[in-house]
Amino acid sequence: MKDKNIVPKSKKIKSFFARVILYFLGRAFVASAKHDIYVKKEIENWPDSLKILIKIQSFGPCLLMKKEKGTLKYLGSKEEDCEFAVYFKNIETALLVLTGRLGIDMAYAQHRFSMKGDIIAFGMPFVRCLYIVEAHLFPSFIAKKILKRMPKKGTSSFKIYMGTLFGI
Amino acid sequence: MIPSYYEFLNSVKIISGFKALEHIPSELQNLGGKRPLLITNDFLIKIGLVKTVLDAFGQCDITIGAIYDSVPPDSSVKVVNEASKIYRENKCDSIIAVGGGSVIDTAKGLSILITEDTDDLIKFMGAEILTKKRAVPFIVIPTTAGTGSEVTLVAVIANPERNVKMEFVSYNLLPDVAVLDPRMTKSLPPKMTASTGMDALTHAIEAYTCIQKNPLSDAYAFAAIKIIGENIISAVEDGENEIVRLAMANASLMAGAAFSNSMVGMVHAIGHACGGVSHIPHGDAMNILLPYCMEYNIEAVGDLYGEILLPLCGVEVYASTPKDERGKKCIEAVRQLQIKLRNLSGLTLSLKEAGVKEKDLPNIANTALNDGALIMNPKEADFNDIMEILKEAY
Repeated sequence: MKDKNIVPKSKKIKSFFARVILYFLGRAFVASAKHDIYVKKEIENWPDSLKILIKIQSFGPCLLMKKEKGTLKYLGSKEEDCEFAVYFKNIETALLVLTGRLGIDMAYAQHRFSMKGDIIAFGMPFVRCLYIVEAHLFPSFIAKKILKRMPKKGTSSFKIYMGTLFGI
Repeated sequence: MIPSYYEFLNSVKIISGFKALEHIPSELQNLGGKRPLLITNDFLIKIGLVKTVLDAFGQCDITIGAIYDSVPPDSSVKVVNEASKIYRENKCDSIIAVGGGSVIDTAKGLSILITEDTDDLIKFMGAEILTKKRAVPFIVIPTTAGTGSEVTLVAVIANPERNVKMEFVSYNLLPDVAVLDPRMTKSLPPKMTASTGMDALTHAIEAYTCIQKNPLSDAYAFAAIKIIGENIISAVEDGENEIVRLAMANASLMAGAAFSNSMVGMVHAIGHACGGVSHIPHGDAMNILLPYCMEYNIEAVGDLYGEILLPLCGVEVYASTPKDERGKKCIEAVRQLQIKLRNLSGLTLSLKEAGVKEKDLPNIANTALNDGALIMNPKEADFNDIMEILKEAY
């Protein structure tokens, strides 16, 4: 063989796209934790200072959030050792989930990501929060495709959009 | 229908049959083990099952490094750490688990400690976090025909100090070898035979209907249901019949391989919660909840229940039932099976009878909501849905 040490091409555009979606997802989580009573209820049992990471392997972007004073804070696209972390195995899979083409339950069932931490205390409430956030963010024809049942929303989606875009 | 994506792994070598135990020494040698730690519980020592295993090591150059026999019905960090201490003190180099789910989970926990060279399991909680290939030969000899743990990628270990039920999900937890020998399940009393057999049936039915079902898990589940349908009554009636015992052990293993890949759903989510809150045996919880959860799910997977009527009841019942009634007929068949087993063995059929207190139902429902198995259920369920099922099963 002539060529050695072949380094596959990086997926810069997809990675950038995923970074943008994760940014808005993080802000939507924060807005939901602030305005949506059901999301608030889900996270109330999490300890203050709990950090949650969503990371795309191997060198993809990530999303870091922290529970602080009873609500969530978006800490940006940085990787830290966290009590609870979701690691998408590759960028393609992550984009399927982040763009509403694959539900988080199917992604879990299909081993599309690994999960570090307490599944009972953090994993399941996180999934239910994500259901609600997705129900707010995605148009209903997309949400209905990826959610087995539409979750109850604890506030208007308009409020979540405002919170996501303008932090209010 | 082929799923758009699925993964399937069952890397466990299966040794099944009469005198299968006697093959363990050569299997262990092939794996590089010479000084195993045998993990079990004192009851299995008392009834002579461990002696049967030890006798199988006659005339070979393997030394049992030590026996750890203090595994309680629910494994915990303390138990795993104790086993680890004994493993290291006695310079063991491999693990043999002889027992049911708790013993096997303890052994899986120990394999994590050894592989990761740590004494803190909590760092490795989660799904597919264990990246190191298991560093210790690991053989499992199940003594019940129900859990299927000998071929599953899951271990649940309690951490009472931190009040956490730690879940570990990893392909690296799969044992090297599972040994099915009818001598190991012959002594199971009729009621436990019925209860663990219904546990295996639940695994197979949930594996066939949960969201990550796939052609391979279907094949395992379908075959398991057929064997259970044909043998569970005989196993309860005539426990000494080694052929029937071996059949049930195989069915349990196949159902385990199926659900290890397609996962289980709400019967397990609610059943685990019943065990955690009210301490009822796992098999009893599965048996009680199965038909009620099937009724809840029929709207989503009724056609799949219709398909498994064939292995459960046979071709005549299947063919004589109109297609759109097969799902309901399947649930009816499960109920009829339960009644037969109750008449034969006193199998528990309601949560009240199993010792669950009515005031605990909301707590059970809340606990079930946080069980990972609920995600895999074909139909979404919230607190109210689970409460309805619990009330019906009460």
